[in-house]
Amino acid sequence: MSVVIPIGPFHPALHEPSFFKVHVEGEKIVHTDIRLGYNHRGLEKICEARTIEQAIIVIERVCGICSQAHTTAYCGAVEDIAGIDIPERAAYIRSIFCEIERIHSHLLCMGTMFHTLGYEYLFMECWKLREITMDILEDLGGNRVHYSSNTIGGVRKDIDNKTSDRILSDIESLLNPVKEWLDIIKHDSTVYERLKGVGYLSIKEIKQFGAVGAFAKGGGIPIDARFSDQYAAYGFHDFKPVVESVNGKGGDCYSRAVFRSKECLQSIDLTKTFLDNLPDGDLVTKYDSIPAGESMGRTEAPRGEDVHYVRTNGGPLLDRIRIRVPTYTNLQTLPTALKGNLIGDVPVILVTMDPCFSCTER
Amino acid sequence: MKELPETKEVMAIFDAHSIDAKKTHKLRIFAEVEDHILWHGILKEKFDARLLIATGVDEMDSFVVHYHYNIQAKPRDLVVTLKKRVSRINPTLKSLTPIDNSANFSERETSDYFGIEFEGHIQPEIMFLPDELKGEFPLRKDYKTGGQKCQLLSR
Repeated sequence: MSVVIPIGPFHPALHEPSFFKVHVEGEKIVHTDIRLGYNHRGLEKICEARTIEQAIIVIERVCGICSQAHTTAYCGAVEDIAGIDIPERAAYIRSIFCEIERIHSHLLCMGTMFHTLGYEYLFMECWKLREITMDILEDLGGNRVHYSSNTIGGVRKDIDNKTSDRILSDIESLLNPVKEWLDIIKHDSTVYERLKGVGYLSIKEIKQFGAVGAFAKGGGIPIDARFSDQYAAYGFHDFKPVVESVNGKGGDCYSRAVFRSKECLQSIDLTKTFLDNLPDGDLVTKYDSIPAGESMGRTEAPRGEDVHYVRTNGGPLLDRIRIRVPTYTNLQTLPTALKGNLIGDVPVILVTMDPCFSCTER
Repeated sequence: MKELPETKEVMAIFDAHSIDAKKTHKLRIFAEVEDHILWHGILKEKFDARLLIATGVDEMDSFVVHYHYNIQAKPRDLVVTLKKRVSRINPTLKSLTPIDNSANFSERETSDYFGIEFEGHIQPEIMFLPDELKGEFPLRKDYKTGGQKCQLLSR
């Protein structure tokens, strides 16, 4: 006979409100029901009463961590409708913001993962490093979380040589600590044994539920909009998505943690490449008006593929926007990832998925 | 933007079925179809398409449910959208969930916001809206939001 254990809506293991009804037999999970809606703010409806330019401000506030990814997707969709090609310098600056944001998000997630495992020293180390990325973002955009950099047709914030040099040296200082913790995940038995074989998902299951981000890339499927959609400046340089798996057949918490650390290293590399190759030129392409039309914008947010559907009616107001964030599809996959695991492993599986309920419910 | 061979291939299939598909500036393809289940099968079988989202749009005279797909191509993936028109008087549509699990949440959400009933959905429950809003569909264009209109301050 199964017993129902409620986790949430407010629970120490969750960093945002959501409700999981976990059905267990003994300590083994047999089924999970998810109830969402504790963070629903109706942002899509709010956007319908805003002009196309004003909507950027609302969309930036969908999430506090991946705000640049959201506005890049939205601006990309509107630029597609209006047929605007952004200047090369603007494309590079968008990418630089996206990459630093990714490093910031991964450091935050790894910190909470170590905290969940009880490895408090690395938790504090990760969050200390995260401050460096937040300082860079504050230098670039004026704010620690909402940078207000993107605008339709380009960007509003420029990067001068002095800031560029500072970012390069600061980013460089992250390289060794990240390598160090990757080594700890691989070789420290207190971390390794807690993650290995937990929350396993096969490639078939990942494809069945359409999982993206850490579930897909940490399970052997290279779904990465940066390289498959080539938005902003990602088409200018030849990089391949980081993929990690268990014998090429799927992924567990361990492969997801290793994937996230490796992607962090790749992002440091990408930031350096973009800063070194930053071209001269304008920041914005001017446009007259946005015609009626519809399009899709895609970006790779830190947690996975972020999709925006935008529809305009030729007037100043936005007709419809639909935002699908990575956690949305990953939550569909979650009951399968939890099934068969122990109730004590729920926080670890959740944290390696890196959920963002604020994004999911909008 | 340079057209890929896969774009031509997808457009040729739509042309062969005399469906008027449109391309955007970045070559996203939008096509209005009669049978979305059949086309889901075609895209899956021929291109191994991955469902991104299902979306609802209120066009005042009718609802349109969009199914957005990703098709792998080199060097850039394609995005193909199937549009299925749904009557406003009796908004029902066959669900994709029994065939493709990844449509689960987005169909439930569309049902929440527009009141479109997805026949055969495996889990027809409320997604985000609170229980008190049962029977109200906030993303319909004729939905009255109430409250006061915000005054824009002039600089």
